[in-house]
Amino acid sequence: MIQMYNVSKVYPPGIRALIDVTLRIEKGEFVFLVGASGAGKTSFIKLLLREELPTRGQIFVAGKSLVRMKRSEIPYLRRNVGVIFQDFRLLPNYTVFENVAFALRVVETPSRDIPRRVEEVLALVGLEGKERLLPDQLSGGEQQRVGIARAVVNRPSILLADEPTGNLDADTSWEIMKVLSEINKRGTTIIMATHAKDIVDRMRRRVIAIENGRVVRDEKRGLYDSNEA
Amino acid sequence: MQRNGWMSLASAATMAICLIVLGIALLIVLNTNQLVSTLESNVEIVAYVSEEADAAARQGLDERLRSLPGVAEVRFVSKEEALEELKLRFGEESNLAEALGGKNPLPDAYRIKMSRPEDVIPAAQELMSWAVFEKVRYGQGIVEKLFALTKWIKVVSFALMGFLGLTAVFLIATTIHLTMTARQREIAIMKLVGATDWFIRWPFFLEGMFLGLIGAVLAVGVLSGSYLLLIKNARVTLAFLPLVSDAGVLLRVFGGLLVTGLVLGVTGTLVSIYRFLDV
Repeated sequence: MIQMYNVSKVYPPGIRALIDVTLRIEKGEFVFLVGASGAGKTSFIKLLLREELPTRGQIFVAGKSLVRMKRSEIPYLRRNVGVIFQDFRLLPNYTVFENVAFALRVVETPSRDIPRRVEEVLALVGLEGKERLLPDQLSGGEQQRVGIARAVVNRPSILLADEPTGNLDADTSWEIMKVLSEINKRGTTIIMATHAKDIVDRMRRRVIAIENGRVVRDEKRGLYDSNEA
Repeated sequence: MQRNGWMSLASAATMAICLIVLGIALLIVLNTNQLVSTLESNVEIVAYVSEEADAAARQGLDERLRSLPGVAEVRFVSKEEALEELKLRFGEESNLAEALGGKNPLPDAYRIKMSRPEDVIPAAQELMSWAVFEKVRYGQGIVEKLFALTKWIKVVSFALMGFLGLTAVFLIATTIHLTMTARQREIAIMKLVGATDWFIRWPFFLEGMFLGLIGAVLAVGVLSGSYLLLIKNARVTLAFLPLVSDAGVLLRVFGGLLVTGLVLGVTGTLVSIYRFLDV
């Protein structure tokens, strides 16, 4: 599903965000990406979205090289790779329904299919009945659910989450994790960058730890810190 | 577009002014061309018979002139007739004959009309080589002066248009850049969820084309209104001035202005996309 071979990312004037990363993530896996701020987690996600190119190395998503990918192919990669953020990134003047429908519209989904697909995905994330509210009228957790709905409405096979619970309290975070687990159960690969020790420790999923740009640990059913294992 | 109301207005207005200048220049050039060809077709060659030419040289001159290629009409004007014409022009009271000392200084002349304007100059040159004629005149000067004038009008208006066109493109680019800034969040999300480059770009092209078209419609409105008024008044007061009033030609001029407006609008959008929109 995702393969990285000797991937390095260096930003001018020579800041090394990722160094010689080689790894493989299978279809349907749930992976935590842990490490201190600035360790390279966000670079990792930007590379998988093809927002940036690696300085060295090769990346394959679903068998396609992101390095050799043509500019015109990038939109089709992104339809297969959803993403959610710590700050939700919703459109403030659009209702819940419109925020989700927006993602369908820009990939030119036939308009007659849009209401049904939006309703389906809003049910999946538990936002039935909130279609007409604006993001401001929602709690943080609900806003993140809208973000998730928008990210998965195009049925991507991979969902990237950059600190999705970073702005949420503990209970709300768990609600979001339930939604993500549900999406994962349906077969979507999830890669979640996080600082949330309690979540990682309770979920017991694969943990990839990055320190100063290097993968220092990769465990099947890992914990946030290595010394507690 | 409502967000940048004043900018939109400024760019559409500049576009309109640019296209009005272009339109005025086009209309002037068209009308001068028409005037030139009208004048040319009216130009007659006047060949003055030399005083020294004897009867033998004058013999059969009329037939020789008529046999020249392209000649439509030949009229002989004797020196007496010429003097009569001159008297008429000066008026009965003036004592022209006395002033001239009882002598008629005017030469005999032939007035020749050509069927096609472009034959005038070659025919006049041919006649100049005939010894029997002292002088040949064909209204040279007027035509050349008019052509020189049209050339100047073209140069000045193209320079002005180039400048105004650049300004219009720049203003449209700036207006579109404002729209882009206002829609930054949307554009970022569009990219993330996999919108193609063209899907993101086309609304900006639409806006640029719309601004260009608004300017063009304004320009065509102002120009066609005032030009039609001019034609109407000119028929009465300036009947000798042959203004271009052929509907087909005018439609092409105004259609051309609309297309130019669209093209400039698209150019502005391209500039903005190239400089500010990384898609």
